[in-house]
Amino acid sequence: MSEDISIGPADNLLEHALRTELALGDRVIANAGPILRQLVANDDHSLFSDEVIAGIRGMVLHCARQMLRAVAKLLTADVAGPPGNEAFVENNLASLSAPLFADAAFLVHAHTLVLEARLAERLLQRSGIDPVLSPLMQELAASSDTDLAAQAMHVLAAQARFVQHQRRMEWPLNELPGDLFHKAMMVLQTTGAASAETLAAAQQALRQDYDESRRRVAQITRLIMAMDRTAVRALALDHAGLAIFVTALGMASEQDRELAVMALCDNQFARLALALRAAGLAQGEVEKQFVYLHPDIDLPPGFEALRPDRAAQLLAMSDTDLSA
Amino acid sequence: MVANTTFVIRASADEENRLISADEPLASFHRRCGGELPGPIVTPALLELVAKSRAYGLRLARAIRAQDDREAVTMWVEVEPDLAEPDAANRDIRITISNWHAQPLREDAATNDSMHRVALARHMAGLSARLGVRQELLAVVSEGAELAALAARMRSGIGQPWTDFVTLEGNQHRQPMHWRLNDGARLRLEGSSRAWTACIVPLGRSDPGSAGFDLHLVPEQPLPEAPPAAPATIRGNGIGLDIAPVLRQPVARIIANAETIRTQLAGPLADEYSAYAADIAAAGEHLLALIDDLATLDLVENEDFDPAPDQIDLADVARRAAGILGVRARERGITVDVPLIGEVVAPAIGEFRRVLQILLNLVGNAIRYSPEGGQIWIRAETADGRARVIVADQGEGLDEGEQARVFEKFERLGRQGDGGSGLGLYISRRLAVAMAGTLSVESTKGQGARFTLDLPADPNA
Repeated sequence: MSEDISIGPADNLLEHALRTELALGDRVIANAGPILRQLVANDDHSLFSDEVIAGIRGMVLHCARQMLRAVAKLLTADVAGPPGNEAFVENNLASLSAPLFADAAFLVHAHTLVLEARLAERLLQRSGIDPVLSPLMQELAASSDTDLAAQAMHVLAAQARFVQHQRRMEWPLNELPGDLFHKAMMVLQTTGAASAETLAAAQQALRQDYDESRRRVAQITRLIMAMDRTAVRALALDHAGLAIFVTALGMASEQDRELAVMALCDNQFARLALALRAAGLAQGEVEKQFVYLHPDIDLPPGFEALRPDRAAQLLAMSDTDLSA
Repeated sequence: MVANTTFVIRASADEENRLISADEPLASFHRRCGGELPGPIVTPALLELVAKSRAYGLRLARAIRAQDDREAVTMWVEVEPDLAEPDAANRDIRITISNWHAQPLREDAATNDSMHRVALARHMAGLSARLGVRQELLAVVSEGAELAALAARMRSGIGQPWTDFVTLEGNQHRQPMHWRLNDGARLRLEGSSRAWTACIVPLGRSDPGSAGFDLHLVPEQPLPEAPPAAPATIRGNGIGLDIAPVLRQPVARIIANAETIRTQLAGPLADEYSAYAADIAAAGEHLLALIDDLATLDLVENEDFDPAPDQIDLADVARRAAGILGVRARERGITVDVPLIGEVVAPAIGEFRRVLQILLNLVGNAIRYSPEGGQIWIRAETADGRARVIVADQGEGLDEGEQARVFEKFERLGRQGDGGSGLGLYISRRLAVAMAGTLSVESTKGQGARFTLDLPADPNA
């Protein structure tokens, strides 16, 4: 049965290595077809258009640059060059960004942000839905509840910054979720860009400056929670605007916000329909949201009979792991 | 009009992630979930956030959901490690909670999951007890010998907390703790080597636990099969008599399940899958036969093997063997010619079960190696104080070399894939010898084979 009895341990090692390599190669070849199909079918709804990929690249590089600038600040002029000299940053950019590019969680998060920004742009052009100042935002900002109004102003500012950053393909470090920020810091520590002490000091300064509650998504989440009983109004795309809508959708259907963004993309009709139903929207409301996002798609017959709790169960059964 | 609806709950946690101080309503919620103040954080999501903030040295903020037995709470939580403290491990964590929304729990959502769990626990429990409001024992029920001693001790300690009678894993708190913390606790029990889990079901309608509790102790592993009381002299070769029963059960289960699939009892299947299942079942049967053979091998190779002699009639045993294998013979169109009742008797001394085993083996072989539509003759006779039974077939026969080897262990004479183990004749001969008899073969290649079992005749017949 076993035919490699006569082969020595060294040969076995070699064979093992070759087999592993072969299997890796097989996977690349096997995936090439689907990836190519996605890339070639490059209409502007595509998840992987050139523009999207360029956006992700730009965002991750921007992250790396910010970290390197924090390091450069701590270096003396003879190492880092005169102030404003980016040579140090550019010299170390490749080695710091490589591990970030290899991190699926990093890429996926950047991806969803790019997709969100592109979708917001499209909704603005097609349906006039303002990515920053939606009717709901105007209303909340004018609220007599001072805390709520202040919170709304924070969101407004954060959202305006987001739109601007996306146009420039930027990703401020303080906008990273806590886990990714921590990961980025660990990556920084392991680059050889400077001495371990300098890197630790730079890291410490960046950590001091970080506050997850100031992130755009955190601000929006908190605003929705503060809306309390009126939060259901955040589930109307035209009224709330995309950023608030998608955050509320994730919260109400108990999915990650990243998945909620994905649900709005093409070929994710089932996820979107289920999420809207799980969030408790009635048939008419679900249909209305579909008109904005997928005007040419009809809900399947019988969908009106699907109960919200069942929809939530169906969603929970899909075991998508975005960063797998 | 100016209103301000945001009220903020402040709390803090120390370096061991214990909640040191907490404003209302967090403090009440914490206590309702079984926590103490100061004491460990009991809300898992909050604990995770606090621990993460300390590990990362970062200010974090998340929306958190938590629930106790009556309400579900959503809250916006911001945590901040005391960055002035240089040693990350010693940092206190400041917790700020806003947008605390509590909603009464939906009845079905809360109970549906736990109902299944409780039903399972009731079913699996090795020991069940009714507890009073302070988790003191009121009545104890247990089945099986394993926990009998513990149950007896508990019964004599009625009125004491149940936790006095068990060893809770990783427990350094004063017992009994809040029932919610003991529910699901892992524990060790006197008289059992298994790990157990406590399942506590609160009773009482308005306030869970107000009418006491049901306690179920559920084992985490099934009871190990009692090892057969094996004689001390069994040698450890072959498969071993103590291993065979353990193997037999899973193999039997494989066969039974494969048969279920093959016969499509659980629903229609593509034919090829049904055929695969048939293969699995056939392989399982083979394995089962092999296990039996190996177990018997161990027995017959044991020096102390001592068959219990009976007065038997070889002709009668031969008829029974032929009867048992009749279906298989008919499937292949083979006629088995046996001595008719009353035609001949061959009284002998031997253990009935073992002689039947030998004849089943001989007749089985004859059927297996006869051509389809062939004939098998079985004759019985007595002569010179010996009783004999002869099984003759029309198979290919054996040449002299093969005749010499056919009784050897694992000898298959070059055959493969017919379900034999090569042990049958070896075992049969050992059995015959143990009963003061012989088993021999006469054959010529191409002329069939005659196997003769020779045993002492019954002198009293």
